[in-house]
Amino acid sequence: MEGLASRVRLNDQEAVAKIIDGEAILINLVSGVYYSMDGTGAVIWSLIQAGEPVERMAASLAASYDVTLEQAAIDIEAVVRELLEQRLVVPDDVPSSFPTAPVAAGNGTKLPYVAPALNAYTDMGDLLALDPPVPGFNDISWEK
Amino acid sequence: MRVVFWTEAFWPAIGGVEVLASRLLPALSQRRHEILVVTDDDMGRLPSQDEFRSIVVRRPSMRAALLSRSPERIAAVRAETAALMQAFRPEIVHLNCPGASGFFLRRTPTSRRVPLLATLHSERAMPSGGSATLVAKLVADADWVTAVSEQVLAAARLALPSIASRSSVVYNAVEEPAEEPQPLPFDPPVLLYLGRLAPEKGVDRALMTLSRVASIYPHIRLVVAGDGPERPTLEAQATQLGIRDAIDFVGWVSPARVPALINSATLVLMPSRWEGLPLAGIEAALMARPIVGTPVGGLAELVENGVTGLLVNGAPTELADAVVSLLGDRDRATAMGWAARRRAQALFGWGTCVDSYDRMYEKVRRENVHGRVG
Repeated sequence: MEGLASRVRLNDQEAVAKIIDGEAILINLVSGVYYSMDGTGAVIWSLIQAGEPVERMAASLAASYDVTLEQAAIDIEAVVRELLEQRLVVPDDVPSSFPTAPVAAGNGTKLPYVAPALNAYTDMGDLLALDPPVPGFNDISWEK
Repeated sequence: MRVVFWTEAFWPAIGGVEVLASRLLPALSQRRHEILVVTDDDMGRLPSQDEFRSIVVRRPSMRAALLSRSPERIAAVRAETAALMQAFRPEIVHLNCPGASGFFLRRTPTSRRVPLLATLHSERAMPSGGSATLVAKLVADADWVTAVSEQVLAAARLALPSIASRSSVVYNAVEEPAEEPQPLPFDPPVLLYLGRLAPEKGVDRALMTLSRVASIYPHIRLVVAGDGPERPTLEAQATQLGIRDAIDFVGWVSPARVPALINSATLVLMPSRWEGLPLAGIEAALMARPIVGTPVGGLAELVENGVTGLLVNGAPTELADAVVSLLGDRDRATAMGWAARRRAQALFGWGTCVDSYDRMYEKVRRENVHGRVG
């Protein structure tokens, strides 16, 4: 994880985020791009929110998912770099006061692993800028 | 079959996509389909609960929540859409014209994966951002993709090759009006534009065409039926061109009045920059009107160039030449109109359209290509 910050946190000057039903929804308020991370991605986001050091996230993931520590570290590094590039997080070297625990996997069985991914919706700004096709609807006698 | 028809806009919004849906859904509901329309409340201007011809319509504030960029508001709308889906328990979802509201469809948790049919209405439906776009993800999620014309399908497959083996065309269609086509009026000639007043429709080209044709036919009129963001610009352009008095901006026209409006026209102008398959063009053809337009999107399939109308590039000089050639040869214009009607009856029949969607619903439910059942 050469060159990567030891911790990252939400870039609250430029972005908002929330975990909704097990999925992280992130919005870059400057670019208007929407993002989502589900599955292991949402787990990583929850670890970021909890102030977990990046280098310890792999252990959390490997403890609960069917993935090696090495692979988890590679995948986490990739997704954290992407979060940094998209300015959704910023480096944060202030230690968290909240200890974190590995993700619970239930009865000891490891969960199937899918690499975390940051899903971007780069067209959201354009889609929302489209004119809704409603002008004048109150003036038209639509037969019902 | 229980079908959620998820669409960016629906009645009373007006436009080709909305008019088609307002006719298609009642027809499908008569064929044993129970339909729930999920659409947007247009920034709170439309009621959240409604009914259209016995079809339940629900309008969560999806666009407003997304524009707010508030995760809390987005979460609330997501909970609302999830509750709708869980209560209705759809057997398939028909995503009509994928757009911003699809964010909630994609993010709505259900107890099972519901087969998805997506319908694309424009050759520009697929954004240029590749797979990192909401629309591309929605279309990639679909078990089957229909496009309203061959051109729209080709553009979608080019943008997302993975859909090639699970996509097809279902042409837009219009029920044949009860009104009989009337003879084309030539004294004076009347040109008609019918549709949204938006840049892609090329109404500015229609105005420049009129200004050229008016030098030969000084009493010619242009009826501009429709509304939209370009209207002030177009009215200013008409004044600047000195043809404001020759144009009637009549605003939106009720769908029921469209056949009579077309009957009052000599020919219909469709100088679009890009298209899907415009209902107005099918309606014009059914009323035996020749179309002068551009060979974009489904217009190139709707109009057989030289037989049912004339397709030229969008230059006003070429459009004007095409109009003048038809106005100067009444027999040819009339023959083209009737050929257009026969072609529309053969290719864009209403029964075929309803049958196609009916069969598509069965196919998507049965095959459930992605097999995502949880």
